[in-house]
Order: sequence, then structure tokens, then C-alpha cells
Amino acid sequence: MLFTGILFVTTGMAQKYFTKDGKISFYSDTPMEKIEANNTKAVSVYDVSTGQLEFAALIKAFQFEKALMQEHFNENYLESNTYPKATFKGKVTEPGAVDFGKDGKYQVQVAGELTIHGVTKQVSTPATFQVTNGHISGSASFNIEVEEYGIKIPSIVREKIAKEVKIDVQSDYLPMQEKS
Amino acid sequence: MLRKAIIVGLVVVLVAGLVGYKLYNKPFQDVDQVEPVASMTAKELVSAYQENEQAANEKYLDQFIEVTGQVQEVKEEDNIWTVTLDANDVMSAVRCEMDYIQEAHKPDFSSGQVVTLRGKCTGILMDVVLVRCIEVSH
Repeated sequence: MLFTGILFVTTGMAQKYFTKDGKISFYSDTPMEKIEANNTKAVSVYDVSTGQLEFAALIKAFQFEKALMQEHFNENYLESNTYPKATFKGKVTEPGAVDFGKDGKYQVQVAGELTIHGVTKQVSTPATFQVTNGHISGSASFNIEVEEYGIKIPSIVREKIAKEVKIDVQSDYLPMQEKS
Repeated sequence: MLRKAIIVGLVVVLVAGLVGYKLYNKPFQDVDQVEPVASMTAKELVSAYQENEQAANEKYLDQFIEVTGQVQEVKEEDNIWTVTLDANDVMSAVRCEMDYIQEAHKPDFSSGQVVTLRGKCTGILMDVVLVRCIEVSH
């Protein structure tokens, strides 16, 4: 379990923020075909004091426009019966730069380990925290190369699936406190 | 002879194209018609996952199941409705993303009610997550 030992209470100043409704979308764009999939149930926890940032998403919860694409994605490429989750464990490199008590848009850098299809790779991306009336949202957009994650695309559909897939992440965070 | 070959060739291409097109556009599973592999309470589902995630995945992952529980929360974001079913557990619940592929399902029940939802199990993060849910009864 990724997020054990946490309990939700409403009192006190939050050191950690979480969401269970994180949105992760990815886009594969080639002249032959555009593919998009959306997941609205990613879990994310952000620790303000350490800058520790984690995400987890269920592969089967990605929804495609076409049933066939979704089937191929799960069965042939991501092998989601064997690897049901994708995770990210990393850090905001300068957590102190973000003042969650003050409205504004904060540009940060996020770096860490992304695990997809059972393969873990280092990723680094610019990200944005937006604070509006105490409401906190985070977003990031980055590209990954599918081959790096041991995902083999057969030559027959090579023209239809991009080598580089764009991933968009968007989460609205809520305050959380650790069980004491 | 050549003419015949060309006609046969054209027919083959046409049929292959049609089959390919049909396959390419094959519909998503019809949630209303699909037979659920199991029915249980939210608590039973969460317990199964807490006891042995892998064993629970073998039984329920990617399968349509029916889950009964008390509604903890109903929320909407970007026209996607999510219903949380209480599992009498501090950590985990069952979160059900209502179907929006076949037909947008807006829940007509509220917190506190006991409902049965059918949906496809996608595994557990903090909560067990079901997608493409429809209401079976309340």
C-alpha cells in the first residue's frame, strides 16, 4: 500500500495535501491517428514540508474514445492484468518557493521515479501550483517515450501510435493530516 | 479473366475494409446487459482487497461486479459523477465513477441512502475504484 497510516481530520494546519480525483490524460498524436485517454481517479499526496510528491493511478481506469484502443492498450501494451498501477514518487525540488497561504501561480520543478508497465524511469518536469482562496491545484505536462517502459508497439500499427506520448496531470488538492 | 480478377480483388478489399472498420469501431460493453461476475457489499469488496490484493484482482479486475453500500458522497466534476460507498473502514471505501461512455449517469440518490451499483472493477489505490457504473437499485 502506497498511502498507509493516514487519517483525515479537519483541524489544524495541514502539512500534507491529497486528492483522490486526480486527472491524468495522455495523448498520442500521429498523422494517421490521434489517441486520447483520461483517468479521473488518480490518487496524489503532497507533503508541503518535505516537497515529497506521490501519484498512483489504475491503468484499467483510463477511458478511451474507442473500445478497441482501450482493449489494445490494456492487453497488448500496458499488460494491465500484470501491471495494474502506474506510480510516481518524487519531489518538488524547491518546496519552499510555494506559499500555500498566499494566492498566486507558482512554477516549480518536479523530479522523481515514474513506474509504468513495471519499469521505473527518472522523469523531471516543470509543474505549476495554483493557489486561489486557499484552494490548491497542481498541474504538469511532460512527454515519455513508450519504448523506455518496455512497451512494444508492433510495426503494423507503428504509424498510428506515437513514439512519444504526452502526459497531462491535473489535481485539486485538499488538506490532510497525519494520524498522530 | 483479368476483369474477373479485378472484381474479386475489389470485393476482397471492400470486405476486409468493412470488417476492419467494424472492428475499429466496435462498441464498448453494454453495462445494462452485462452479467456481473459477483455481487457483494462495499465492505466485503474492500476487505477482499485488504486481505489479498492480488487474489482480489484475479477475481474482480476488469470484471463487472455489483456492489451494495451506503452512499457517503456524491460529487460531480466536468459532468462526471462519482459516488463513494462506505465500507465501514477508516482507510478505504469504494469509489464509483458513473458511466459517461454509453450514457451519462447522473445519480438520483443522496448521501445516507443504501444503493447497489454495477461497474467495472479497476483495482485498489486507497479506495477500490469502479468505472462505468450504473445504478441497479436503491
